[in-house]
Formats: sequence, C-alpha cells, structure tokens
Amino acid sequence: MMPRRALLGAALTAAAALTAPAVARADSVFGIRGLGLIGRPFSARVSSSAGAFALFDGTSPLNPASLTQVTTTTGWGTFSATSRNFADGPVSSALGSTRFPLFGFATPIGRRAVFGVTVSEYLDRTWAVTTSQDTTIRDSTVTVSDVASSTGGVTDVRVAGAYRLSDAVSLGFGLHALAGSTRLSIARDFSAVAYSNYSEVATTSYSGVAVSAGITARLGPRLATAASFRVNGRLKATALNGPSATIGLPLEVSAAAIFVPVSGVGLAISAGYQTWSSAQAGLAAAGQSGARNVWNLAIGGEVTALRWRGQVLPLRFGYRWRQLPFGIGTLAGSAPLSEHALSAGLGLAMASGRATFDFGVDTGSRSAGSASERFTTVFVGLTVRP
Amino acid sequence: MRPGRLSIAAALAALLAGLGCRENVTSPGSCPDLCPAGRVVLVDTVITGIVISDSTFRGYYGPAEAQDLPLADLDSLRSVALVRFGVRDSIWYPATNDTAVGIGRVDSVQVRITLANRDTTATHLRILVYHLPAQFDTGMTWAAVQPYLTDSQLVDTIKVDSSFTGGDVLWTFKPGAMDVIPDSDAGVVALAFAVTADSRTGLSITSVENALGGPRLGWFVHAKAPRDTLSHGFFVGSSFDTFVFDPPPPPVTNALAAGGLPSARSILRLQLPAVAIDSVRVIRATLILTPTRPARGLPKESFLLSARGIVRDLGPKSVIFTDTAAGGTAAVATGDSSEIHIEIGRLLRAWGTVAGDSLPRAVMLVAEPEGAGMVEAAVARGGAGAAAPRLRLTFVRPYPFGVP
Repeated sequence: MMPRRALLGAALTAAAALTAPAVARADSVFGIRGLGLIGRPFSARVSSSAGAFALFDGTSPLNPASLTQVTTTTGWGTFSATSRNFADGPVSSALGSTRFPLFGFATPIGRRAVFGVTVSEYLDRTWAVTTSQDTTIRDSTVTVSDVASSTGGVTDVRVAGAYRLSDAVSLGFGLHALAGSTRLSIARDFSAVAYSNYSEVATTSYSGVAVSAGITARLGPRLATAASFRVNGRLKATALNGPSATIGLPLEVSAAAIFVPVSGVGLAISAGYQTWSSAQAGLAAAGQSGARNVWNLAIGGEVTALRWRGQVLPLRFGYRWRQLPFGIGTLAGSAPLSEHALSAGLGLAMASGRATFDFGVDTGSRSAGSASERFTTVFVGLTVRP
Repeated sequence: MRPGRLSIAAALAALLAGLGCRENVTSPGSCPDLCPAGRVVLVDTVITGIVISDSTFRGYYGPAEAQDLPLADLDSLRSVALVRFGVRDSIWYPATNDTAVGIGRVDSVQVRITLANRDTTATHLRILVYHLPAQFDTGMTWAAVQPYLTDSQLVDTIKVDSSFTGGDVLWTFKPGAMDVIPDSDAGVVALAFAVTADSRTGLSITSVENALGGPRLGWFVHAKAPRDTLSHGFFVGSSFDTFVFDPPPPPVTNALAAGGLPSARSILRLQLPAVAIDSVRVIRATLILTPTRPARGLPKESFLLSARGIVRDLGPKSVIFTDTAAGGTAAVATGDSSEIHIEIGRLLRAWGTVAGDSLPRAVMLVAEPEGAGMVEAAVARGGAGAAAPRLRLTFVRPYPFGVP
C-alpha cells in the first residue's frame, strides 16, 4: 500500500494533470510555424547540463525507466524565466516570459518498482507578432497596426512505471495523454478614430495519446547507457466553431551514455531522433508548410567532488544542439530551423537532503534563414522528498 | 535552512525574478515567414435599399419647451419671444425683526437676457421689448400677438453692439417704462421680444428651459416715506416663455424631417444584410442622407442631427437609446444642402450582440438636443431612388484562423 504522503502527492499531481493545459512553455517567435516550438521538458538539474543526463533523470519525462532513480516519495517542479532577442534584418525586439515547464511526482512501490506522473510541455504555441502598414480606405490613407497572437500549446501528461530488473538494468513504460489548447487572436487598430478597432478570437483544442518505453543499464562502474522509444498517435486539433484536423506525430528515439572517468565527475552524451515528417501531410492539408525529421544532441557533465558546508555542491555544464522540424519558408527545409546553447548550473541540498534547489542557465540561439533569436533561460527546480 | 544557503538561494531567486518579471511575447512581424498565413481583409461597400418603412412626426417638443427662443425678422421666418416673469413683491423687510415697507419710488428697471447666437453680419441690431397682457399661454398665436407689437406697447429698445456675439445683455429701461405694474396683473409682468436691424436678421435668446436660464427683470427701488432712505432690489425670472412665429412649418410629405420647432423627428426602419449587423467585424458604418432642400433656420444657427437606435418602436414616442454613443451625429447648419453623413457603426455593433439581437432595426432621426433651435433638416425618404438613405459599410471578412 502506498504511504499516506505518496497518496497525497499522487492526488496533487493528478489535480495538476487535470489542469494540464495551464502548464506553460518556453515560447518563441518561431512557434508561429507548423505545430509550434518543440518542448524540452527537463528538470532544472538536467537543463543545467544541456539535457545530456535526461535519459537518466527520474524527474524528467523522457525515459520512463529512469524513474527507478527515485528512491523515496518525491515531488518536483521547474520554473523558468527567459529573455529573448529576436532579429531579422532591420526588425528586432527584446522579449521575455516566465514559465513552469515541468512538474511531477513519483513514489516507489515495493523495492523494485516506481510509479510516477509528470505534466510537461510538448508543443509550445505561444507567440505574438505585430505589423503595421498604410492602407487606403474610403479614398484616405489610414495606418493600421495588426497584432496576431497565440497563447497555449500542447501538454504531455505521462503516467509511468519503472521496474528494476537488477542492480544494473531497469525498464520503464509510460502512457501519455496529449491535451491543451491555443487561444488565437487577431486585432487591428486604426490610426483614424472614425474606424473601430477590430479583434477576433478563436480557440483550438488538442488531444492525442502516446506510449513510451525505456531502459537504463549500468555496464560497469564507470559506464551506463539508456535508451527510450516513444510512439505517438495522431494529434487531433478541433476549433471551437467546428473544423478539425488530425496531424501525424513522430516516433521518437533517444539514447545516451554516462561515463565516469574519475570519482565525482560524470560526463554524458545523448542523441535523439524524431520523425516529424509524419506531420507533413496533415500540415499541408491545412495549408501550412511541412515538417522534417530532426536530430538533437547534447553533451554535458556534472562534478560532485566539491563540497560546501558539508554538503555536496554539484556543478553542471553542457552544450546542446537540435534541429527543429518547422522551418520558415513555403516548404519544410527551405530555411531549416536549428538551435544550440550552452548550459551551466549548480544544486543546493537542504533539510538534510529532503529538499533540493537546482539552479541553471541556458543561453544560445536558434535561427532559420535571416531570422534568429538569442535566448537566455534561467531555471529553478525544487525537488522535495517529504 | 542554514543562513548561508538561504542567502544564496535568495540571491539566485532575486536574479531569477529580475529576469522573469518581464512578460512580453510580442515581436515585430517578419512577414511572410514569421507571420500568420491569414490576412485581415477589409471590404468597403455601399448598401442601398435599406429602408423598409419610414415616417416623420412633428410636435414632440413645442415652442414652450424650447431651450432657445428665436427672434426673427426674416423673409422666411418671423418670430417673437414671449416671456411671463414671476410675481414681483411690492413690500420687503429691511431687517429680520423689522416691519414691512412698501415701494415708494422706482429708481430703475433692468432686464437681462442671454443671447444664444446672433447673425454677426447684421448691423444696428436692436431687440424691441413690448408689453404683453400678463396672462397668456401656449395657445398664443402669431396673429394674436400682433396687436401688442405697436409703438404704444413698446417698453424700450435694447441696442446690441455689433461686436457682441453672445452672452448676457444687461439693459436698463428708460425711466418710467416699467415703473408701475397694474394691480390687475398682481405683480406679474409679461413682455414680448422682437428683433430688428438694418437688414433682415434673426437671433435667439435662452429660455427658462435652458441651463443658462431665461430673461430676468430687476427693480431698484426706494421705500415710501418716512423710510424713504431705504433702498432695495427686486429680481424675478421667467416663469413661462414661448415664441410665436410665421409662417407655420410646412407639412412634411415627401421628406423625412428632423429638428426645428415644433420639433420634427423621423423613424427609419431598416433592413440590413447580416454582414452589417456584427459586433466584431463592422469597422465603420455611415448612414448617408440626401437633403431635399437646404436646412431651414435662423442665420448661423446649427444643430446636431442624431441617428439614435430605437429600443421600442412606439412611433413618435418611441423609446430611444439614452446613450448617445448608440448612434451618431452630424452637424447641420442653416442653408446646408450637402449629403449628411452619420456614423452608426456602434449601433450596428450593439445590434450584433446577444443583448442587441432582439432590438428593432430602426433609428430615430432627431435633433440633439431636441427642441433647442429652429434649424430643421429634410432628407429624402426610403422610396426616393438614388437619393434614398443608404449605408456605406466597411467591414472585415471572417479571419481564416485555420486548424491546427
């Protein structure tokens, strides 16, 4: 039987799952393309090392087998604040946002099994663009300013279990529900008071399912590997006023390895591949540009040799690169979008290890054609083991 | 938590807060690549045949309810203002515990009138003040007043300087002109005001219905002997005022009239396409009215012709929106004969809401404020072909949000 605290945590996480569309994301101007910006639902700890340790991290939802890293009832959440600078030729702007990309809960069941729930970002569709132009109405020139915006995206609610086959090998399995909505709006302001400003709103909701499976294996005292596989169903998008569309979602494969050259130092590398071209037909049917299959790569390290006031003070760092499936232009690939970033961070253990604060910073850029966006994201993660 | 770690956590949290408190996701559009595929498409069109029925009513406001009293000596309009003042006392109490004293000698009598507007081209403008019987009412006619507009009834002539364009005029009557009020009139004085100048002209003075007040009279007196060193002032304002005029307003048959006195108002019952009744997409809607003749009224006089939404269609006494924003106005001046354009976009948007869906699709053409002056516009009716009321509509086509 689950302990009372575990039940309470499960209840809180279930409640959070019910409000899954409220999970916020790291938005981008490039989210206007295709299905939006692909989420990176990592804990602050993993984000500090560029995501290289994601397949081994029980608090990140990439690999269900990694839940076996959770040895006691645990709850966690991540807060992020992003500052962005977008530029495309003479056009530029400074942007910023505050988000909560991940929270979850897990508890061991017996000695070998772990059960967990996570609520995380999957697709971000939050963006807003403003344009201005002169137009002729009733034989007069009027300046109009348009603001098109989208708020929301798709949230991934995962219910997962992991089983420790041995001290070296763990398996995991996850069921995913995709849910969320976007609130699209268009507004036009006229410089002439004779014209009434115009605004219109449309809401689109999303639903879908997926399954995932993963494995972690320790191959020796200095080497461990992990892999995960995820099969997504089709994403159903339904507008509030009736029209709907289904979009294919990708198969996702990831693999990673950790190498410990000396005690207290861990180095990791991970790579992933997503077949987002499966969305191309659905997007084309909706009159949008297509999508491409994408790779991602991350390398990072964690040094736990340092101590401060008697506690381990982990220092993390990493570099990551990824392709994004929805480029700019009329066809996918005409101006592909890619992203790279450097990461660093540290962790602070408190209350005799019952609570951990992880701080991280991730700075880099994403670009497609002449458009680019530099970003700096600060993460704060709180992990509580009551 | 230990203080050291607490301070580090606090510092990091403060750093985070500094970065995170900014919420701005709006960037300049880098079109077409980083802009939505949809475009806002504006349509501007003129919709004709929008009137399914119309009617005009006259007399909702009569001369006795006018805010301004016209004085005219025009070929097209002659008008005289009639004012009955309040009762003037014949005694007063010099002090709280004193005995009453009566009027012994009238030193002077003043009248104060307020000019609402005048014809500034008229020179040697004079306002003629005549005695009237104290008792008259709304039944007084132009013909009935004529016997009193004679030299024998003339109290005085108020001269108005050519540079004076509007405001209070204070005039002291010539000695003896108003000293005595007949006992039969019980302290009540009534006067008629007419206008004359070197040329045909007209002006208007404010009435008791006007916020500025109507004409006022003041008597400055000394007491009877032996207390004839005491002086006092009696002041009375207008208790009833109206005006009579000639010729009477022509009947409105082939036109829709609004404004003037007795005031005219017209109802337009409309039949509009669905695209014109929309709370979101109507950007601008202009009701275009074609005058059938130049606007009638006093020189330099103007008014706001308002197209107000009707809440309940009860003919001339229809309930109209009290909110002037639920409709639009256009300025009309005497002599205007060009097209009248009234913006009614807000009304159409109100009709497009759930609350406005049950409202009659009708507007009242009415002067704003009603009964304020003599200017009257007459516009073509719904069956007048190309001159009939029409709607110039600017709207947005439904935006193609698309899915996903």
